[in-house]
Amino acid sequence: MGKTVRGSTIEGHLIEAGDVRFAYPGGEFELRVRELRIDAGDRVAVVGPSGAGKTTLIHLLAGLLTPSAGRIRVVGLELEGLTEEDRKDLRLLRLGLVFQELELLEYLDVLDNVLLPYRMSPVLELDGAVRARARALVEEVGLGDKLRRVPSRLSQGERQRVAVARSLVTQPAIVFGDEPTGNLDAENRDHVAEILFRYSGETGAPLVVVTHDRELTERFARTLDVRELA
Amino acid sequence: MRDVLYLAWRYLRYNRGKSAVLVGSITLILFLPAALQVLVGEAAELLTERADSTPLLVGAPGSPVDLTLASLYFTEPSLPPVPYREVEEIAGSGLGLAIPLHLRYSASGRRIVGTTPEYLEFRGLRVAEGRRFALLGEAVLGAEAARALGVGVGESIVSTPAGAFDVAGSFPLRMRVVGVLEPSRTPDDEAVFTDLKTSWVIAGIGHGHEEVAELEEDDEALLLREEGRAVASPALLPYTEITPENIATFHFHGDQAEFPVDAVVVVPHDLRSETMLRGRYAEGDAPVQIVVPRAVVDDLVDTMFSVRDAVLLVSLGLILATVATLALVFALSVRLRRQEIETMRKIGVPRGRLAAVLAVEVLGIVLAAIVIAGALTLAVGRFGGELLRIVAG
Repeated sequence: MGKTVRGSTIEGHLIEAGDVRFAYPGGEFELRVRELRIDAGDRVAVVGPSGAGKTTLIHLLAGLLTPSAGRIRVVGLELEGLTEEDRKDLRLLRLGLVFQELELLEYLDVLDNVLLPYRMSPVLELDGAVRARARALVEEVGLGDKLRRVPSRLSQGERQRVAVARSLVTQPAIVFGDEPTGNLDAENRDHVAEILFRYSGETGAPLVVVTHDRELTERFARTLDVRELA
Repeated sequence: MRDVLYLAWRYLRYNRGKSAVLVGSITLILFLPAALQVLVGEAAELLTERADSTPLLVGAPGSPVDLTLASLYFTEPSLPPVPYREVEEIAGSGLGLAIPLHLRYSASGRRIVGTTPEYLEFRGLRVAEGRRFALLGEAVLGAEAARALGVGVGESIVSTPAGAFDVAGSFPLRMRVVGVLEPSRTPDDEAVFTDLKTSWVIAGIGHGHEEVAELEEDDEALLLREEGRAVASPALLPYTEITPENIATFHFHGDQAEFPVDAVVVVPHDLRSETMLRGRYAEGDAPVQIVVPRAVVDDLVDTMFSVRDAVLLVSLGLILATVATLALVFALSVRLRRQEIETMRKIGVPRGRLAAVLAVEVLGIVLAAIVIAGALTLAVGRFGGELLRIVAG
């Protein structure tokens, strides 16, 4: 991919996990992942019943949760060896996250919400090219005429499309989605999915998406049932 | 840093109502003690300035503060008058200049100061238009009084009767305005100056009327005429305006030495004269008191400073309470923004960057409050004196 995170370069699979165990404190549920490998260009639908650990898996791979055992390697970096702030760097610079509940900032308009990773990063430089890319992304998600609108004046589907644009503006090496189309109608769902697939296709970034939607699942080349990971 | 400022600005701007309330609250707790400090300083300066230029005051025994305030700031006199004899005695002693003040009456809310032309000289009051009062019934207006009343040279003003049941005979007297003074930025600007005798006429001690002896036999103003003596009836009314035609008929009944004055401004010739004058009235059973206005005002100012210090102490408590409340507001605000902060964490915003944005938001509010409070305090410093003069009337 040619990118580095604090001096590390990507080697091997983009995502590798082995002998991972994770349990929430005080909970009976335990997620186990014996072996998981995801490579460039992979489009993976993570499926399973509610409570099976789909979201937990995505959070572990994105460094939002720390496993109690095992190793996870993302874009060539061992997550175990990273501090909390290093993991944040990883997410901000290399990962794109589209979660169902990821909120937009109400006091920023569409364009500024999309540019948020740049405005909040001491490393990423917000220049004319980035602004142009952000505008193009907003155009692409069909909100070109609503650049200066605040989220409260957008529909649920429009807000989710802004969140997708925000997750892609840094040109991430991997895109994670946790039911990114869960609250959307069919038209908006297809629109959001189309954007994600197009990005993955154009850049080779693997797409790892948790979904309950059968129609959407069928569009993924690979399906991963979390119950079978152990 | 530019992005941090930008994000903080956008947040404050979007939540402009909340931001304005916070800025307003902090501005108030900063401005009020500062303004109090400035205003008390200004008031102390104004008080001492006037007192400094008035060496001694003589008046009836009683509150030195009342005597000083009435004589220097023309407040309603609360002490009884002293006889004009005191003025004559001080002048006759050769120890200093004695300037009488008669302050009982007003014209359209402006104090009528019955005095002598020496008062204008003593205060350095210069005539901007017209001339000083010279004849009975003439008045000179302070600059602000002339402006407020809308009266100029050649026009007239009428004294306000002391009361509907004033049996002493305080008739409204129409006075001709013969001069307007230059502004002096002192209480003199607010006053109406007239000759002491004119104020005695207002008081009913002197009056003018038709010559009784020349009244026709059937004139209802004539009560009886016998053996070359004519007696006027109550129908004989005094003139309410002093004109060149009737000025000669004005006269005073009684001994002038007993006529009232409310205070005497005494300007001793030298320190020795001052000491002698003060010694003369120092005895406990003296019928009048002598006060040094500066000493009286210093006591007043000390009291003002004590009150100010007490208010500042209370303000300090209020500031601490407000700071605690604001801290709580900011903490609650952060809790309310938990979802937003969680989103930031998920997308990988560094903790320091997030803290910087939140800190700049708080700093922006505090800085805005400091700037506004500073500007307001400067304005109070600039216009505080004027404000105090207006408030003091």
